[in-house]
Amino acid sequence: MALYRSDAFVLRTYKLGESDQIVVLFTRDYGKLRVVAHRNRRGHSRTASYYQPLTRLHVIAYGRPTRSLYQTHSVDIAQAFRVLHEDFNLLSCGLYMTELIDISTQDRQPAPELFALFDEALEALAGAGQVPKGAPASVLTTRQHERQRVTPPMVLRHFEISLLTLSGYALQLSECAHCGGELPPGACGYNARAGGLVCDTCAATRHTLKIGHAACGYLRGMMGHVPLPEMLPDTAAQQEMERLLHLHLTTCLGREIKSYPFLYL
Amino acid sequence: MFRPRTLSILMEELCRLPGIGEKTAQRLAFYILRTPQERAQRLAQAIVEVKEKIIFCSRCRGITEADPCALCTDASRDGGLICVVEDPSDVFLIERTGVYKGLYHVLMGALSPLDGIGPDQLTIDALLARVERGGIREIICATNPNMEGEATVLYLARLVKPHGIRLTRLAHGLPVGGHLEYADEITLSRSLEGRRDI
Repeated sequence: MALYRSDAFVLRTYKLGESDQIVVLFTRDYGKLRVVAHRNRRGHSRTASYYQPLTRLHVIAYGRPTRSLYQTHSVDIAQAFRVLHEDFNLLSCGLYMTELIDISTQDRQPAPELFALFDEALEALAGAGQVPKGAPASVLTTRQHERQRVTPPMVLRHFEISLLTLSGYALQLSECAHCGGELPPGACGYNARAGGLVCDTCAATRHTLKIGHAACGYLRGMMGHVPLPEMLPDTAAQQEMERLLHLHLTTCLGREIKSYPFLYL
Repeated sequence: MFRPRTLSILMEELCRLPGIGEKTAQRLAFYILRTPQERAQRLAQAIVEVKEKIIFCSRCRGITEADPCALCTDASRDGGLICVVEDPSDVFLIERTGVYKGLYHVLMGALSPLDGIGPDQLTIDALLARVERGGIREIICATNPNMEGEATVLYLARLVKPHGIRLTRLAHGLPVGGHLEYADEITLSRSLEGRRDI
Protein backbone atom coordinates (compact mmCIF):
# COMPACT_ATOMS: atom_id res chain seq x y z
CA MET A 1 0.00 0.00 0.00
CA ALA A 2 1.47 3.36 -1.03
CA LEU A 3 0.61 6.84 0.22
CA TYR A 4 0.42 9.73 -2.26
CA ARG A 5 0.50 13.23 -0.77
CA SER A 6 0.46 16.06 -3.28
CA ASP A 7 -1.24 19.17 -4.62
CA ALA A 8 -3.62 18.27 -7.41
CA PHE A 9 -6.00 19.74 -9.95
CA VAL A 10 -9.33 18.13 -10.67
CA LEU A 11 -9.40 17.32 -14.39
CA ARG A 12 -12.76 15.61 -14.63
CA THR A 13 -15.17 13.23 -12.95
CA TYR A 14 -17.00 10.09 -14.07
CA LYS A 15 -20.09 8.53 -12.55
CA LEU A 16 -19.49 5.28 -10.69
CA GLY A 17 -22.55 3.32 -9.68
CA GLU A 18 -25.46 5.09 -8.01
CA SER A 19 -23.73 7.70 -5.91
CA ASP A 20 -19.95 7.39 -6.31
CA GLN A 21 -17.56 9.15 -8.66
CA ILE A 22 -14.19 8.50 -10.19
CA VAL A 23 -12.20 11.73 -9.97
CA VAL A 24 -9.27 12.24 -12.32
CA LEU A 25 -6.63 14.25 -10.47
CA PHE A 26 -3.52 15.81 -11.99
CA THR A 27 -1.04 15.74 -9.12
CA ARG A 28 2.19 17.68 -8.99
CA ASP A 29 4.32 14.74 -7.86
CA TYR A 30 2.68 11.63 -9.30
CA GLY A 31 1.04 12.75 -12.53
CA LYS A 32 -2.53 11.72 -13.21
CA LEU A 33 -4.25 9.65 -10.49
CA ARG A 34 -7.80 8.31 -10.49
CA VAL A 35 -9.44 8.26 -7.09
CA VAL A 36 -12.82 7.00 -5.99
CA ALA A 37 -15.00 9.57 -4.22
CA HIS A 38 -17.59 7.56 -2.30
CA ARG A 39 -21.16 8.93 -2.04
CA ASN A 40 -20.00 12.09 -3.78
CA ARG A 41 -23.15 12.57 -5.82
CA ARG A 42 -25.38 12.69 -2.76
CA GLY A 43 -26.45 16.06 -1.39
CA HIS A 44 -24.81 15.69 1.99
CA SER A 45 -21.33 14.77 0.75
CA ARG A 46 -18.71 17.03 2.33
CA THR A 47 -16.26 16.63 -0.55
CA ALA A 48 -18.66 17.00 -3.50
CA SER A 49 -17.84 20.68 -3.86
CA TYR A 50 -14.10 19.93 -3.79
CA TYR A 51 -14.11 17.63 -6.80
CA GLN A 52 -15.00 20.21 -9.42
CA PRO A 53 -12.73 21.08 -12.36
CA LEU A 54 -10.64 24.25 -11.97
CA THR A 55 -10.00 23.54 -8.30
CA ARG A 56 -6.58 22.97 -6.73
CA LEU A 57 -6.58 20.55 -3.81
CA HIS A 58 -4.26 19.13 -1.19
CA VAL A 59 -4.84 15.41 -1.50
CA ILE A 60 -3.65 12.38 0.43
CA ALA A 61 -4.53 9.24 -1.51
CA TYR A 62 -3.54 5.64 -0.96
CA GLY A 63 -3.68 2.38 -2.81
CA ARG A 64 -1.61 -0.36 -4.34
CA PRO A 65 0.76 1.00 -7.00
CA THR A 66 -0.31 -1.78 -9.38
CA ARG A 67 -3.98 -0.73 -9.26
CA SER A 68 -5.51 2.00 -11.39
CA LEU A 69 -7.96 3.35 -8.77
CA TYR A 70 -6.98 4.88 -5.45
CA GLN A 71 -8.80 5.87 -2.29
CA THR A 72 -8.59 9.31 -0.70
CA HIS A 73 -7.52 9.63 2.91
CA SER A 74 -8.07 13.37 3.10
CA VAL A 75 -8.74 16.26 0.75
CA ASP A 76 -8.71 20.02 1.28
CA ILE A 77 -9.10 22.97 -1.04
CA ALA A 78 -5.91 24.88 -1.79
CA GLN A 79 -7.48 27.28 -4.30
CA ALA A 80 -10.97 27.34 -5.79
CA PHE A 81 -10.46 29.88 -8.64
CA ARG A 82 -13.98 31.14 -8.01
CA VAL A 83 -13.67 33.99 -10.51
CA LEU A 84 -13.41 31.39 -13.28
CA HIS A 85 -16.78 29.95 -12.24
CA GLU A 86 -18.53 33.29 -12.51
CA ASP A 87 -17.94 34.16 -16.17
CA PHE A 88 -18.76 31.94 -19.13
CA ASN A 89 -15.73 33.05 -21.18
CA LEU A 90 -13.30 32.41 -18.35
CA LEU A 91 -14.97 29.10 -17.50
CA SER A 92 -14.70 27.96 -21.13
CA CYS A 93 -11.03 28.99 -21.29
CA GLY A 94 -10.29 27.18 -18.02
CA LEU A 95 -12.04 24.00 -19.14
CA TYR A 96 -10.26 24.14 -22.50
CA MET A 97 -6.91 24.20 -20.69
CA THR A 98 -8.13 21.42 -18.39
CA GLU A 99 -8.96 19.23 -21.37
CA LEU A 100 -5.58 19.93 -22.99
CA ILE A 101 -3.82 18.89 -19.77
CA ASP A 102 -5.99 15.76 -19.58
CA ILE A 103 -5.10 14.77 -23.15
CA SER A 104 -1.39 15.52 -22.81
CA THR A 105 -0.72 13.64 -19.57
CA GLN A 106 -0.59 9.96 -18.71
CA ASP A 107 -1.60 8.12 -15.55
CA ARG A 108 1.18 8.04 -12.94
CA GLN A 109 3.67 9.86 -15.17
CA PRO A 110 4.88 12.86 -13.13
CA ALA A 111 4.92 16.13 -15.08
CA PRO A 112 5.74 18.89 -12.55
CA GLU A 113 6.52 21.40 -15.32
CA LEU A 114 3.06 20.93 -16.80
CA PHE A 115 1.55 21.24 -13.32
CA ALA A 116 3.37 24.55 -12.79
CA LEU A 117 2.31 25.77 -16.24
CA PHE A 118 -1.34 24.89 -15.58
CA ASP A 119 -1.23 26.57 -12.18
CA GLU A 120 0.31 29.75 -13.62
CA ALA A 121 -2.10 29.80 -16.55
CA LEU A 122 -5.14 29.49 -14.25
CA GLU A 123 -3.74 32.26 -12.03
CA ALA A 124 -3.25 34.44 -15.10
CA LEU A 125 -6.74 33.61 -16.37
CA ALA A 126 -8.25 34.44 -12.99
CA GLY A 127 -6.22 37.66 -13.08
CA ALA A 128 -7.52 38.40 -16.58
CA GLY A 129 -11.00 38.44 -15.15
CA GLN A 130 -9.90 41.06 -12.64
CA VAL A 131 -7.53 43.25 -14.69
CA PRO A 132 -9.28 46.54 -13.81
CA LYS A 133 -8.75 45.83 -10.11
CA GLY A 134 -5.04 45.04 -10.61
CA ALA A 135 -4.17 41.59 -11.75
CA PRO A 136 -1.68 39.53 -9.72
CA ALA A 137 1.70 39.17 -11.42
CA SER A 138 2.53 35.67 -12.54
CA VAL A 139 5.32 34.01 -14.46
CA LEU A 140 3.32 34.64 -17.62
CA THR A 141 3.17 38.35 -16.86
CA THR A 142 6.18 39.23 -14.80
CA ARG A 143 6.73 42.77 -16.04
CA GLN A 144 4.36 45.61 -15.22
CA HIS A 145 3.95 46.71 -18.85
CA GLU A 146 3.04 43.16 -19.83
CA ARG A 147 -0.16 43.26 -17.83
CA GLN A 148 -1.92 44.61 -20.87
CA ARG A 149 -1.23 41.22 -22.48
CA VAL A 150 -3.25 39.34 -19.88
CA THR A 151 -6.37 38.84 -21.93
CA PRO A 152 -7.99 35.40 -21.88
CA PRO A 153 -7.11 34.63 -25.54
CA MET A 154 -3.47 35.59 -25.02
CA VAL A 155 -3.30 33.49 -21.82
CA LEU A 156 -4.54 30.57 -23.93
CA ARG A 157 -1.94 31.21 -26.67
CA HIS A 158 0.88 31.31 -24.09
CA PHE A 159 -0.48 28.15 -22.50
CA GLU A 160 -0.78 26.30 -25.83
CA ILE A 161 2.75 27.21 -26.91
CA SER A 162 4.25 26.24 -23.54
CA LEU A 163 2.25 23.00 -23.43
CA LEU A 164 3.40 22.03 -26.93
CA THR A 165 7.02 22.82 -26.05
CA LEU A 166 6.90 20.85 -22.78
CA SER A 167 5.21 17.91 -24.54
CA GLY A 168 7.90 17.77 -27.21
CA TYR A 169 5.78 19.23 -30.02
CA ALA A 170 7.32 22.71 -30.18
CA LEU A 171 6.51 24.74 -33.27
CA GLN A 172 9.38 25.12 -35.73
CA LEU A 173 9.51 28.87 -36.35
CA SER A 174 13.19 29.69 -36.86
CA GLU A 175 13.83 27.75 -40.06
CA CYS A 176 11.82 25.84 -42.66
CA ALA A 177 10.22 22.89 -40.83
CA HIS A 178 10.53 20.74 -43.97
CA CYS A 179 13.90 21.47 -45.64
CA GLY A 180 15.68 23.44 -42.90
CA GLY A 181 16.19 26.37 -45.27
CA GLU A 182 15.81 30.05 -44.51
CA LEU A 183 12.30 31.41 -44.00
CA PRO A 184 11.09 34.48 -45.93
CA PRO A 185 11.19 37.71 -43.87
CA GLY A 186 7.47 38.53 -44.18
CA ALA A 187 4.43 36.28 -44.19
CA CYS A 188 5.01 32.50 -44.09
CA GLY A 189 3.02 29.34 -44.65
CA TYR A 190 2.40 26.85 -41.83
CA ASN A 191 2.30 23.16 -42.68
CA ALA A 192 0.81 20.86 -40.05
CA ARG A 193 2.62 17.71 -41.18
CA ALA A 194 5.99 19.49 -41.18
CA GLY A 195 5.21 20.91 -37.72
CA GLY A 196 6.01 24.54 -38.37
CA LEU A 197 6.57 27.33 -40.85
CA VAL A 198 7.87 26.38 -44.29
CA CYS A 199 9.79 28.32 -46.92
CA ASP A 200 8.21 29.50 -50.17
CA THR A 201 9.74 26.61 -52.14
CA CYS A 202 8.31 23.94 -49.82
CA ALA A 203 5.00 25.85 -49.50
CA ALA A 204 4.52 25.70 -53.27
CA THR A 205 3.99 21.92 -53.16
CA ARG A 206 2.17 21.64 -49.80
CA HIS A 207 -1.10 22.69 -48.21
CA THR A 208 -0.25 25.59 -45.95
CA LEU A 209 -2.01 28.06 -43.70
CA LYS A 210 -0.92 31.63 -44.48
CA ILE A 211 0.49 33.40 -41.41
CA GLY A 212 1.18 37.14 -41.52
CA HIS A 213 4.36 38.89 -40.46
CA ALA A 214 2.88 40.24 -37.19
CA ALA A 215 1.62 36.83 -36.08
CA CYS A 216 4.94 35.15 -36.97
CA GLY A 217 6.84 37.82 -35.01
CA TYR A 218 4.64 37.48 -31.94
CA LEU A 219 4.79 33.67 -32.00
CA ARG A 220 8.59 33.82 -32.16
CA GLY A 221 8.49 36.25 -29.23
CA MET A 222 6.29 33.92 -27.19
CA MET A 223 8.68 31.05 -27.86
CA GLY A 224 11.62 33.20 -26.73
CA HIS A 225 13.37 33.34 -30.11
CA VAL A 226 13.14 37.14 -30.19
CA PRO A 227 12.08 39.76 -27.62
CA LEU A 228 8.30 39.83 -27.22
CA PRO A 229 6.83 42.87 -29.06
CA GLU A 230 5.67 45.67 -26.76
CA MET A 231 2.16 45.81 -28.17
CA LEU A 232 -0.41 43.06 -28.55
CA PRO A 233 -0.91 41.90 -32.15
CA ASP A 234 -4.06 43.15 -33.87
CA THR A 235 -7.22 41.04 -34.02
CA ALA A 236 -6.40 39.55 -37.44
CA ALA A 237 -2.95 38.45 -36.26
CA GLN A 238 -4.42 36.99 -33.05
CA GLN A 239 -6.88 34.97 -35.13
CA GLU A 240 -4.04 33.67 -37.32
CA MET A 241 -2.10 32.61 -34.22
CA GLU A 242 -5.19 30.92 -32.81
CA ARG A 243 -5.88 29.00 -36.05
CA LEU A 244 -2.24 27.90 -36.38
CA LEU A 245 -2.00 26.70 -32.79
CA HIS A 246 -5.33 24.87 -32.95
CA LEU A 247 -4.27 23.08 -36.13
CA HIS A 248 -0.89 22.21 -34.60
CA LEU A 249 -2.48 20.95 -31.38
CA THR A 250 -5.06 18.75 -33.10
CA THR A 251 -2.38 17.34 -35.42
CA CYS A 252 0.04 16.60 -32.57
CA LEU A 253 -2.54 15.30 -30.10
CA GLY A 254 -4.32 13.30 -32.79
CA ARG A 255 -7.87 14.27 -31.83
CA GLU A 256 -10.31 17.14 -31.73
CA ILE A 257 -10.59 19.14 -28.53
CA LYS A 258 -14.21 18.88 -27.34
CA SER A 259 -14.21 22.11 -25.38
CA TYR A 260 -12.73 24.18 -28.23
CA PRO A 261 -16.11 25.24 -29.76
CA PHE A 262 -17.17 26.64 -26.36
CA LEU A 263 -14.50 29.34 -26.67
CA TYR A 264 -16.63 30.88 -29.43
CA LEU A 265 -20.14 30.50 -28.02
CA MET B 1 -25.06 -22.51 -14.23
CA PHE B 2 -28.40 -24.12 -15.18
CA ARG B 3 -31.22 -21.62 -15.41
CA PRO B 4 -34.36 -21.68 -17.60
CA ARG B 5 -33.83 -19.51 -20.69
CA THR B 6 -36.84 -17.24 -20.00
CA LEU B 7 -35.67 -16.57 -16.45
CA SER B 8 -32.17 -15.71 -17.71
CA ILE B 9 -33.62 -13.25 -20.22
CA LEU B 10 -35.70 -11.57 -17.48
CA MET B 11 -32.66 -11.33 -15.22
CA GLU B 12 -30.54 -9.88 -18.01
CA GLU B 13 -33.16 -7.22 -18.69
CA LEU B 14 -33.53 -6.39 -14.99
CA CYS B 15 -29.74 -6.12 -14.70
CA ARG B 16 -29.85 -3.25 -17.20
CA LEU B 17 -31.85 -1.11 -14.76
CA PRO B 18 -29.87 1.42 -12.70
CA GLY B 19 -28.76 0.14 -9.30
CA ILE B 20 -29.70 -3.47 -10.06
CA GLY B 21 -26.94 -6.04 -9.89
CA GLU B 22 -27.06 -9.76 -10.63
CA LYS B 23 -28.22 -10.77 -7.13
CA THR B 24 -30.98 -8.18 -6.96
CA ALA B 25 -32.05 -9.10 -10.50
CA GLN B 26 -32.33 -12.75 -9.41
CA ARG B 27 -34.36 -11.78 -6.34
CA LEU B 28 -36.72 -9.64 -8.46
CA ALA B 29 -37.01 -12.31 -11.14
CA PHE B 30 -38.04 -14.94 -8.57
CA TYR B 31 -40.47 -12.48 -7.00
CA ILE B 32 -42.08 -11.94 -10.41
CA LEU B 33 -42.15 -15.72 -10.89
CA ARG B 34 -44.00 -16.21 -7.62
CA THR B 35 -46.40 -13.33 -8.09
CA PRO B 36 -49.95 -13.99 -9.43
CA GLN B 37 -50.37 -13.99 -13.20
CA GLU B 38 -52.54 -10.85 -13.35
CA ARG B 39 -50.11 -8.79 -11.25
CA ALA B 40 -47.20 -9.78 -13.48
CA GLN B 41 -49.26 -8.83 -16.50
CA ARG B 42 -50.11 -5.45 -14.99
CA LEU B 43 -46.39 -4.79 -14.52
CA ALA B 44 -45.62 -5.80 -18.12
CA GLN B 45 -48.55 -3.74 -19.40
CA ALA B 46 -47.42 -0.69 -17.37
CA ILE B 47 -43.94 -0.91 -18.91
CA VAL B 48 -45.36 -1.18 -22.43
CA GLU B 49 -47.84 1.66 -21.90
CA VAL B 50 -45.32 4.05 -20.41
CA LYS B 51 -43.19 3.59 -23.53
CA GLU B 52 -46.15 3.95 -25.88
CA LYS B 53 -48.05 6.80 -24.29
CA ILE B 54 -45.47 9.08 -22.70
CA ILE B 55 -44.37 11.90 -24.99
CA PHE B 56 -42.49 15.15 -24.51
CA CYS B 57 -44.56 18.31 -24.13
CA SER B 58 -43.99 20.60 -27.10
CA ARG B 59 -43.88 23.67 -24.81
CA CYS B 60 -41.84 22.69 -21.75
CA ARG B 61 -40.27 19.39 -22.99
CA GLY B 62 -41.45 17.68 -19.82
CA ILE B 63 -43.03 14.24 -19.99
CA THR B 64 -46.77 13.98 -20.52
CA GLU B 65 -49.51 11.81 -22.04
CA ALA B 66 -51.24 14.75 -23.73
CA ASP B 67 -49.57 17.62 -25.55
CA PRO B 68 -49.37 20.29 -24.14
CA CYS B 69 -48.93 18.92 -20.63
CA ALA B 70 -51.22 19.56 -17.67
CA LEU B 71 -48.71 21.95 -16.09
CA CYS B 72 -48.49 24.13 -19.22
CA THR B 73 -52.28 24.32 -19.62
CA ASP B 74 -53.06 24.95 -15.95
CA ALA B 75 -54.52 28.49 -15.91
CA SER B 76 -53.91 28.83 -12.17
CA ARG B 77 -50.13 28.68 -12.62
CA ASP B 78 -48.02 31.82 -13.03
CA GLY B 79 -47.18 32.06 -16.75
CA GLY B 80 -44.57 34.77 -16.18
CA LEU B 81 -42.31 32.45 -14.21
CA ILE B 82 -40.28 29.63 -15.79
CA CYS B 83 -38.16 27.17 -13.84
CA VAL B 84 -35.40 25.68 -16.00
CA VAL B 85 -34.36 22.13 -15.04
CA GLU B 86 -31.98 19.61 -16.56
CA ASP B 87 -34.15 16.46 -16.62
CA PRO B 88 -37.88 15.70 -16.72
CA SER B 89 -37.56 13.97 -13.33
CA ASP B 90 -36.47 17.31 -11.77
CA VAL B 91 -39.95 18.72 -12.51
CA PHE B 92 -41.48 16.17 -10.15
CA LEU B 93 -38.87 16.92 -7.47
CA ILE B 94 -39.77 20.61 -7.51
CA GLU B 95 -43.50 19.89 -7.69
CA ARG B 96 -43.16 17.75 -4.57
CA THR B 97 -42.14 20.86 -2.61
CA GLY B 98 -45.58 22.36 -3.30
CA VAL B 99 -44.03 25.83 -3.18
CA TYR B 100 -43.48 26.61 -6.86
CA LYS B 101 -46.51 27.71 -8.89
CA GLY B 102 -44.93 28.72 -12.21
CA LEU B 103 -44.15 26.87 -15.44
CA TYR B 104 -41.17 24.69 -16.34
CA HIS B 105 -38.68 24.20 -19.13
CA VAL B 106 -36.65 20.98 -19.37
CA LEU B 107 -33.24 21.38 -21.03
CA MET B 108 -32.68 17.64 -21.49
CA GLY B 109 -29.21 17.85 -19.98
CA ALA B 110 -26.61 20.50 -19.25
CA LEU B 111 -23.76 22.10 -21.14
CA SER B 112 -20.58 20.11 -20.68
CA PRO B 113 -17.50 21.47 -22.44
CA LEU B 114 -15.39 18.49 -21.34
CA ASP B 115 -17.88 16.02 -22.85
CA GLY B 116 -18.58 18.15 -25.92
CA ILE B 117 -22.27 18.63 -25.05
CA GLY B 118 -23.16 21.98 -26.56
CA PRO B 119 -26.30 24.16 -26.78
CA ASP B 120 -27.42 22.35 -29.96
CA GLN B 121 -27.93 19.15 -27.97
CA LEU B 122 -30.19 20.88 -25.43
CA THR B 123 -33.57 22.60 -25.76
CA ILE B 124 -32.12 26.09 -25.30
CA ASP B 125 -33.56 27.25 -28.67
CA ALA B 126 -37.06 26.30 -27.52
CA LEU B 127 -36.53 28.26 -24.28
CA LEU B 128 -35.42 31.31 -26.24
CA ALA B 129 -38.47 30.98 -28.48
CA ARG B 130 -40.67 31.07 -25.34
CA VAL B 131 -38.77 34.13 -24.13
CA GLU B 132 -39.21 35.89 -27.49
CA ARG B 133 -42.95 35.23 -27.46
CA GLY B 134 -43.05 37.50 -24.39
CA GLY B 135 -44.92 37.48 -21.11
CA ILE B 136 -42.04 36.04 -19.06
CA ARG B 137 -40.69 38.17 -16.22
CA GLU B 138 -38.39 35.70 -14.42
CA ILE B 139 -36.45 32.54 -15.23
CA ILE B 140 -35.28 30.41 -12.31
CA CYS B 141 -32.29 28.18 -13.12
CA ALA B 142 -32.63 24.95 -11.15
CA THR B 143 -29.64 23.18 -12.68
CA ASN B 144 -27.34 20.97 -10.62
CA PRO B 145 -24.76 22.86 -8.52
CA ASN B 146 -21.76 21.48 -10.40
CA MET B 147 -19.53 22.61 -13.24
CA GLU B 148 -22.02 21.61 -15.97
CA GLY B 149 -24.87 23.35 -14.16
CA GLU B 150 -22.80 26.49 -13.69
CA ALA B 151 -21.76 26.55 -17.36
CA THR B 152 -25.42 26.23 -18.38
CA VAL B 153 -26.54 29.05 -16.10
CA LEU B 154 -23.77 31.38 -17.31
CA TYR B 155 -24.62 30.62 -20.93
CA LEU B 156 -28.34 31.19 -20.33
CA ALA B 157 -27.56 34.48 -18.60
CA ARG B 158 -25.77 35.65 -21.71
CA LEU B 159 -28.80 34.83 -23.90
CA VAL B 160 -31.63 35.89 -21.60
CA LYS B 161 -30.30 39.08 -19.96
CA PRO B 162 -30.56 41.18 -23.18
CA HIS B 163 -34.33 40.53 -23.13
CA GLY B 164 -34.57 42.34 -19.80
CA ILE B 165 -35.82 39.25 -17.98
CA ARG B 166 -34.85 38.58 -14.37
CA LEU B 167 -32.65 35.47 -14.18
CA THR B 168 -32.19 33.77 -10.81
CA ARG B 169 -30.76 30.47 -9.63
CA LEU B 170 -31.42 28.21 -6.69
CA ALA B 171 -29.58 29.18 -3.52
CA HIS B 172 -26.46 27.29 -2.45
CA GLY B 173 -26.35 26.58 1.22
CA LEU B 174 -26.52 24.38 4.25
CA PRO B 175 -28.88 21.40 4.29
CA VAL B 176 -31.78 21.61 6.73
CA GLY B 177 -31.04 19.46 9.77
CA GLY B 178 -27.29 19.46 9.04
CA HIS B 179 -24.43 20.63 11.24
CA LEU B 180 -22.21 23.61 10.54
CA GLU B 181 -19.06 21.67 11.46
CA TYR B 182 -19.62 19.25 8.60
CA ALA B 183 -20.10 21.94 5.97
CA ASP B 184 -17.33 22.40 3.42
CA GLU B 185 -15.69 25.80 2.82
CA ILE B 186 -17.31 26.44 -0.57
CA THR B 187 -20.86 25.69 0.61
CA LEU B 188 -20.30 27.72 3.77
CA SER B 189 -18.93 30.72 1.87
CA ARG B 190 -21.87 30.62 -0.55
CA SER B 191 -24.26 30.34 2.38
CA LEU B 192 -22.75 33.48 3.85
CA GLU B 193 -23.04 35.29 0.52
CA GLY B 194 -26.65 34.22 0.17
CA ARG B 195 -27.68 35.07 3.74
CA ARG B 196 -31.07 36.72 4.17
CA ASP B 197 -32.78 39.06 6.60
CA ILE B 198 -34.96 37.57 9.32
